Amino acid sequence: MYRAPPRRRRWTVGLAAVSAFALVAGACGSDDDPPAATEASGGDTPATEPAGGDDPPATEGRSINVAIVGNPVIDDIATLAPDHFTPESGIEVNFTVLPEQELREITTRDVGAGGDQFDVVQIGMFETPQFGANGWLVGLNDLAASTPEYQIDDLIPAVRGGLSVDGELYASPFYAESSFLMYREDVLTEAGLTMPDAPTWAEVAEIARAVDSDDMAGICLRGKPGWGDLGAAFTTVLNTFGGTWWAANDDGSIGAAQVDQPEFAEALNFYVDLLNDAGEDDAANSSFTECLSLYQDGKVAMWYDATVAASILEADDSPVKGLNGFALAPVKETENSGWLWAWTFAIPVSTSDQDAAWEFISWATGPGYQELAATELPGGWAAVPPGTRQSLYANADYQAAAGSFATRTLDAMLAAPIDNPGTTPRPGLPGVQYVGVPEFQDVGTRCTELFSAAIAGSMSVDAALSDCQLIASDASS
Amino acid sequence: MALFTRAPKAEPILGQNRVIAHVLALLTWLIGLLFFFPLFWLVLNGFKDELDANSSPKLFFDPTLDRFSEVTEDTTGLLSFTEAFGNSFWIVLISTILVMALAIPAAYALAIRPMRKWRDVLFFFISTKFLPIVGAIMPLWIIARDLDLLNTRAVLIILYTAMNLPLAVWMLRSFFAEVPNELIEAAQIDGCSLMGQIRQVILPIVAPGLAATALLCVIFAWNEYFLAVQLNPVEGSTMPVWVASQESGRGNFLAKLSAASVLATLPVVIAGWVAQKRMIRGLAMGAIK
Repeated sequence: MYRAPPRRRRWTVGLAAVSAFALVAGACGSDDDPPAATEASGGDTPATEPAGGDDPPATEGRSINVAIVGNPVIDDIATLAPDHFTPESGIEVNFTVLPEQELREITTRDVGAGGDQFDVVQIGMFETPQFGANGWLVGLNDLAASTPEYQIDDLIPAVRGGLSVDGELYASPFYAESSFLMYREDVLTEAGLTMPDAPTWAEVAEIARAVDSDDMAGICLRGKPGWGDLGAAFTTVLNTFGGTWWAANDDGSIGAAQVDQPEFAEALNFYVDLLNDAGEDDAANSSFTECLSLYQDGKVAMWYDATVAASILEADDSPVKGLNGFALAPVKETENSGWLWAWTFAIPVSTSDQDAAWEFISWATGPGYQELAATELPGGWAAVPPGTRQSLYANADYQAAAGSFATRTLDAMLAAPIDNPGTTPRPGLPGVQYVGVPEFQDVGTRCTELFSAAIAGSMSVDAALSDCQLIASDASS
Repeated sequence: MALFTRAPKAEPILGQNRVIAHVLALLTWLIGLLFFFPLFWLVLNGFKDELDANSSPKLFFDPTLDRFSEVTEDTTGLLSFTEAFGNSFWIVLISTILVMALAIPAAYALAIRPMRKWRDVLFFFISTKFLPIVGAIMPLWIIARDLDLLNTRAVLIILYTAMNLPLAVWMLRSFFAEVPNELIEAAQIDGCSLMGQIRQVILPIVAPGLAATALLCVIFAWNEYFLAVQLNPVEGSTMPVWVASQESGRGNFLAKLSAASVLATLPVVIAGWVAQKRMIRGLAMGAIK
């Protein structure tokens, strides 16, 4: 009978070796198998770990699934919950950390189509009013009223307003931000320049061009395509230049596209010219992270972006700590122009344990959490989630730790023109750096791809505007 | 480059041909280095601290293992490295075994005992790959939701099996087709049964092909991110989802992400390394050469 030559057998040995490696490597991972959530609902409940000598609540292995966005301020909650929330409440929390884009897709589908994957979802200020108006989220007013320690009236009014529909709060803010101008005070002083506390874009552009050099760009602005990247920064400029994406019909629906209007062209030309003359290298690929690196590296003198950046620039390990000044978002036609954004926690109506979900939210977004974060986290008071509660800015410890940017952040938050960001009425729900209609995600992303090409110089501003006008017109009702 | 095998002994080259050969060799090295550079940079970044990784590129820095210990640290309630590794391991192993178990008989039927319209069958298999997966994600999600399969490892095992099966059938068919009929006939004359023919004649000849196919299935399943994050983000998430969870919308994360990517890439690189010599031979050789 035919026998395979022994040489061939070596293959089987090779395959076995690969499998053996995989098995050994896998054994390291299989300790945690089945995954955490299954364990949580199994026998080993937190009730076995008494909290501070008090009788722990009856837990019966309650657990909730929470989706959160990857963000250092937000990720801290995952390190605090197991030791500080679970022992007191008896509720295990399984966190799913996702990049922003995936979080949006997954939570939108889960909340909208009743996937019941999550008991608490982290959504932004753009989605909250839309989801709330669609009836996808549990209203929080009654729950907040039954939890006095939550102190709903302590929320910063602009933030609360942006997360409410007809007075009903649909999500509780965990962290909020506006936008402002950060600049290297030492560089400006050396150049004999002074930044006003509330500058105009013309003043900022003049200073940027004056300090721009081969080693250091004058200003870093977002140029990366995306409605939340270039779209956010540019829309605040557009608002204050008197432009808008769409006119509003009487019923608040989307009217005619306004991209072909002179104000829009003026805003985009200003933005592109400023980046060409005094912007960072490779501006068409830059957003928050890239500008942060350039600023920390001493490659740009000014940076217009989220207020939360200040806490990173002023952190103990920052190479530019103590060198920075902060000014309100630059304006032209309007009084204020800073954006308003919040990452919030909301409860989808499909959750199977609404009480546990609210218990978690009221802990994570209540005033007690800020105190806890300040004492437990290495960053101390300067690293607590900012921008949601007025009491934080009245706190002497916080003022001492974050004094250089705390007041300016609060000013920016209070000034954010959430209800009336421009000079003309906007369609949809309130929003500053976006238009509060679902269509904006698509239109904003496609148009910013064109604008980014204009920044890169591969397309003219006029061509970008006329193509964008067509895209925006398709969404008009 | 480690992933390329030594070239077969070439004929002696003279004069102008020799120059061309050297230029080509240089070009090959350059292209190889170009492909290798991002990986090199990734590994380098994994050993930096965040400020170094995010500032102007530096070749010299104080290397640290802190990023690796940061990303492998266990936090209750968060997907850990060991959990993700374990999940990926079982999902990849089971789906690859299923793929091979289904693809071997299919390839045998298509190559050695071709039935009527076998070409149509073959093209039907590959046509399932024509639809971009993003176009099918909503129906898949709804089916998974209705069958209570969301956030289970089972849903990924099923989908990875389906995803890799057409590729495995196509690859294995071409390997099976190279088995000379004479060998099978000789085995039949010796009185070998069908199972005996497969076990003792065909499988030893196609073994390099089997291993190459299995390794490709392992690589595709190990690296798959889209389905994993869409259908199974909560429990039983896999390595790519774990890597993505190191990203941050606000703040520096490049060094952490690089460290996580190195850890996620390592098993596949080692598996490829172990198998490379035989695998290239398996891909390049016919059955009786």
